[in-house]
Amino acid sequence: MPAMEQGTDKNHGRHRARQTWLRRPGISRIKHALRCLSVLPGLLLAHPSTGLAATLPDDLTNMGLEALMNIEVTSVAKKPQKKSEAAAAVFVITNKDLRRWGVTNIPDALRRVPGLQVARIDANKWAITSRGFNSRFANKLLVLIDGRTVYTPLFAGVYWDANLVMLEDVEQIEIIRGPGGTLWGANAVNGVINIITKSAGNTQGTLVSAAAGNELERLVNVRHGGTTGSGSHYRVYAISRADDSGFADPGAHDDADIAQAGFRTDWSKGDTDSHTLQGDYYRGTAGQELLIAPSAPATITDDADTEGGNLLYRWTHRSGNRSDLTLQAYVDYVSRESAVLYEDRYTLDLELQHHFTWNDRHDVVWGLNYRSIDDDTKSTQIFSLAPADRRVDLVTGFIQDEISLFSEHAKLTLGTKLEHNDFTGFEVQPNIRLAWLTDSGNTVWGAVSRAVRTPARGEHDVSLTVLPPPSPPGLPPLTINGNSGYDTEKLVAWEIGLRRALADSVTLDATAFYNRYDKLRTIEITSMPPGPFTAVFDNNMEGNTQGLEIDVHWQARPWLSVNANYTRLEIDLDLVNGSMDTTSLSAEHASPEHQANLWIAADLDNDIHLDAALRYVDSLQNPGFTKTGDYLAFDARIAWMAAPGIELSLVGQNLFDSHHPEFNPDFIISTPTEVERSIHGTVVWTFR
Amino acid sequence: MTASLHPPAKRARLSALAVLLVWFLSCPAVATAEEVITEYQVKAAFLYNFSHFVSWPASPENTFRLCVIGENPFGQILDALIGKPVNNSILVVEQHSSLEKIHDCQLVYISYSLKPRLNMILAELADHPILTVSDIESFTDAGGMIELWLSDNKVRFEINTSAAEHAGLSISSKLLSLATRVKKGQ
Repeated sequence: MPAMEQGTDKNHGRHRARQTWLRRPGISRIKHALRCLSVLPGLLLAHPSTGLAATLPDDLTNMGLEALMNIEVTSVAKKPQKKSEAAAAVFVITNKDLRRWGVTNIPDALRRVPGLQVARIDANKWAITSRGFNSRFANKLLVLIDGRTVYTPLFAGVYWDANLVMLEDVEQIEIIRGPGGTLWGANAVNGVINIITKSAGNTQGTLVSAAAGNELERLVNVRHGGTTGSGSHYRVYAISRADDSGFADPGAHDDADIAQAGFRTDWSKGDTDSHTLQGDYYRGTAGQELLIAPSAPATITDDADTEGGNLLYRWTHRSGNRSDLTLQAYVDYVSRESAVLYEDRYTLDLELQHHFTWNDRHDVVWGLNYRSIDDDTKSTQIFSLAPADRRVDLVTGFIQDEISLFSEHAKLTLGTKLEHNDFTGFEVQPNIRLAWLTDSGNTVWGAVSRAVRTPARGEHDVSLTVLPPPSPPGLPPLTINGNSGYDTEKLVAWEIGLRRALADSVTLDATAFYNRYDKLRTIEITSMPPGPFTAVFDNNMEGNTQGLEIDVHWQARPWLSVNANYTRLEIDLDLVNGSMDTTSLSAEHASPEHQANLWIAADLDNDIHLDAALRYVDSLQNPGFTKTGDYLAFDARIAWMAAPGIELSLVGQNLFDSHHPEFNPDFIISTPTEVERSIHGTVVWTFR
Repeated sequence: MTASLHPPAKRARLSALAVLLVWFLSCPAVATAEEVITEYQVKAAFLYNFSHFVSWPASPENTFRLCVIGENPFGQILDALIGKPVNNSILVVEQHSSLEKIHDCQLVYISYSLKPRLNMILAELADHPILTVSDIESFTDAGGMIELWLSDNKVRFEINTSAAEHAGLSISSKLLSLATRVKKGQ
């Protein structure tokens, strides 16, 4: 959503500081190596920064103002301190991070984010959530790609296999933990992931990237960007990707193949109006081995066929530095056909957003959003929806005011969202946030928010036959039915956070939260054998989660950075209203209690980069096939700029173990597969 | 035999590794030499340009002081301007942490890090012939003279002429014509 794009400008702080020393007119590597050797005696002393810093080319200083005004700069960090001032738990993954971490998809990139839980179910299915309640259909997280919502309203989860992004063209990924309630859509209960691609003007020229390895069978990205006149740029791209199956005994059938192509054009008239038109189309298949009634315990080998496309237009009108108006419209088509489910879905989304400053003290954003989702489904033996075709409308309005107090030392944010959905009517989601900024640049913040998760279509309309619980033995498959009285899940979240410099080169970002949930989803048995064995969705669980997320960044040397983060999460749930649910409480153990990441990024030379990362994930006790114990993963990447515009890299993931399980599926049971040790090599070639 | 050879061989390998490691660690390196122009390179060029389109009251000194207060976002970029001519003076770059020393500056760039203290700083500078420039939003509304900002990755600026006039500076009409917005009067 544009609110965040507009926020984009503001959220670069974390990484901008590194940028000044990154650019240097190249000196020959040999000379450099010699100089390196000559400083050997002065080990680990700070290196004189003069040689490292970006300089000012003469042709820039001699340029007139008109010419300077036409130069495009690479940074969009207009308000660099903004991220550190935000009264929310924000983490930003930059384009450079994506490259240096050696990741090839969004789920792997999210593994290093504090406060998130990322687990792979099989080679094309993931369970990803923020602050608990993980599942393949994790429903308390909102994911946006360039302002387009990509969760599926059927179960409110995300099909991660079908939403490819060409990572080379990603500007950044912003992750906001906690209720993004005020500005964001229906699912932003525990977090928002906002994937923002570069504007077409920043992806000029041609890029070809080809990767292959033992697990990543093939990933070819091709992009070409050009211009069609002053202030108007375009790019077209295509992705072809194939993943090998994960590890399972006796064998797995979860390999996947997908192709995607798309474009983006950006054009502007003067300083005031900018336009974006972009679209994508994909087709893929994702293998799975289903363990479903009535054939279970025999498995069915199946391929889910996926297809989708979207077209988005955005117009932003700016009035000077203090007001902007954004209109956005998109259409989105998604189709998924498997042995479980046939679904075609069409979404129309219209959005208006206005941002302005008033009286120097108030920074106001308000907006209106209308979304219409129309689906056609076909029943299978285990899955049906009644009605089979349905249109769901969602109307949302929001307003937020950020008020500067105490001569800009404090920022008080008041906001609320008002939403109307077809299932539960009006929902109000207010929040209040306060940030205190000290003179030395430290920030202390706190927030109290209310958020709701509106029912997914499935919770109202589904009839899903799942395998019986293991005990008592001998039960027939269970049919879970939707409930037209299913209510919204409700959350009140309390958060506090601190951002500060511990030393010149060390920054700390810590957040603690306490979430109180009410009316969480349960499954209630309605009739037992010998009659039909049926159950219904209800709202009979409540509970709380609490946690701590600490992220430390240390720029140890201009060429060496060290990052570490730690995530602690405790979930405590209770059944109420005499609920006899036997499965929903397992959410207490579906997310790790402890997670930790440690990684370094080292520029060994002008042209050689080394990255290494350790990740610890605590054990889960989510019911299912395999025991998901704790694990320690080690990833590494080495890259060499072989020639101008040509980068060769070698990435190893999970180098410590041959394979480990990460998650068991729920609701729709497919054989989970384990994540294997993988190695892939990549060549990236860019030219004008 | 082999057993007795092992430890020194191992030690040699280890020390070779250590030397290599030390060399890696001591090696100041930088990323790819892609020729990109960063935001603050362009902003530095803007600062230099501004000095040609503003006239200051006559000064006995023949140095033009370009000063940065707060966290310096330019890194070493501004060093390239040192010694360049500005209206019969020679440009010098100074970084200050306290307000007392900036009264001799001709141009003060106020870093974003000082946003919380902006009003106090502007009040301190108000009666001195000092051109104030910043990227803090609503800088010109707060009484600053030139506010820099990015639009579609291009640098734009706004000017508050009354603040400049009040300080005894005059800004050329050429500069005013290139500004995105000119704020007159309070």
